[in-house]
Amino acid sequence: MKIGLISGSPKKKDSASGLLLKVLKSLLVQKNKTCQFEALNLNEKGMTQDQLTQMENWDRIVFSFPLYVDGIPAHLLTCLQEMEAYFSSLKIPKETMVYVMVNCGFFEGSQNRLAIDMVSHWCRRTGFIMGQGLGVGGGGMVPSLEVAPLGKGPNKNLGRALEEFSDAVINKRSGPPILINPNFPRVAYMLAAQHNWRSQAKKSGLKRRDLSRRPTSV
Amino acid sequence: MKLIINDLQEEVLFKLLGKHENVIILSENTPIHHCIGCFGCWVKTPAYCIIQDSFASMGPQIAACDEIILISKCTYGGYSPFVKNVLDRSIGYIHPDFTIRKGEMHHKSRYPEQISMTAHFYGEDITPEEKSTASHLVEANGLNLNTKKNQVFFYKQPEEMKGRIL
Repeated sequence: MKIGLISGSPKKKDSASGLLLKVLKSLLVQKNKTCQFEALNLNEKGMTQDQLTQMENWDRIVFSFPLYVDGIPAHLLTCLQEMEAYFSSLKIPKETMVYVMVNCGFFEGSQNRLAIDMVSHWCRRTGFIMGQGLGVGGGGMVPSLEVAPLGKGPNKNLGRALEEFSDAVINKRSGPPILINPNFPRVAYMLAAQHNWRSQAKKSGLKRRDLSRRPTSV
Repeated sequence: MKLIINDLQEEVLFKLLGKHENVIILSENTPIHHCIGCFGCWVKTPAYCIIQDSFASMGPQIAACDEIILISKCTYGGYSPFVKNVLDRSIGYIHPDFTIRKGEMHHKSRYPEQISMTAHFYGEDITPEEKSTASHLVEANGLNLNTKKNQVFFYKQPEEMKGRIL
């Protein structure tokens, strides 16, 4: 089986989307050692012909991207339209299954639901089969996967969800979206995120009150 | 002032609008860079995007308006890439800090005045599922932008919008 892993993060490195794909890949290998992987980073508007041709050989596609304004980031949306134009015109019956992980900075994984539904609508138009979506809330905590074990502590729900999700990918199973929050108090998550904004602003030479500027100059 | 973000050919839009004033129009003929997820509009140059193209001032521009009007081909139950791109580049309009609205975490408002949002989606073959997603999307956008009112309309052809945009 050939599995295509597509990161739709605009970041070229250190993205939560990329890290989720890395963790998923290790789970998939544990479940089936014969899995073959190919990866694409779609961080620009548009795709090359080589990328589209490469995708023809995949029997499963896993997307991972950040939630942007309740939906799919615009650059990735452009790529999806190009995939739709290409694959819907091939007129070859495809059994390609599509899986998607969407992460958001908000605590609630349920806020990723609409973006997952959009991928499902894209599948119908492209001729692919929607497998399953995974909506990860508290995306700000995803980097903790580098140090905190999956399935434990704040990553308990994420561990269980990735277990179920990877199982669906291996077995080509379809299912309703899995929407998860981190195992961490929401108020503490909010405060930690806000502290992080202040630290970043300070590094840019801004004061705390500068974050609340209300400029009117266009 | 109203802000129209649209993906129509300019001459088509002007025919639909007729005479208009106090309207800012953002159209696809202006090159736009995509958001790179750096959060500079929150922590480096608050309200302004750090990417220096024609869409760097979306935060203050939205704040100067009382209504955003989105005109978009319905694309998988959402906006088309250009309209979505402008929205992705507009998050400087809101504050990085969080609040709870309707039991969910959202961003606080940066500006005190609330705006209205109207979305006009067009497309020959929009499915009922896509319509449902698009309606929920506008509701979710409204919650995040803390709008005072949201409206969603669907059309088969852009021409059906004549006289209904402003």
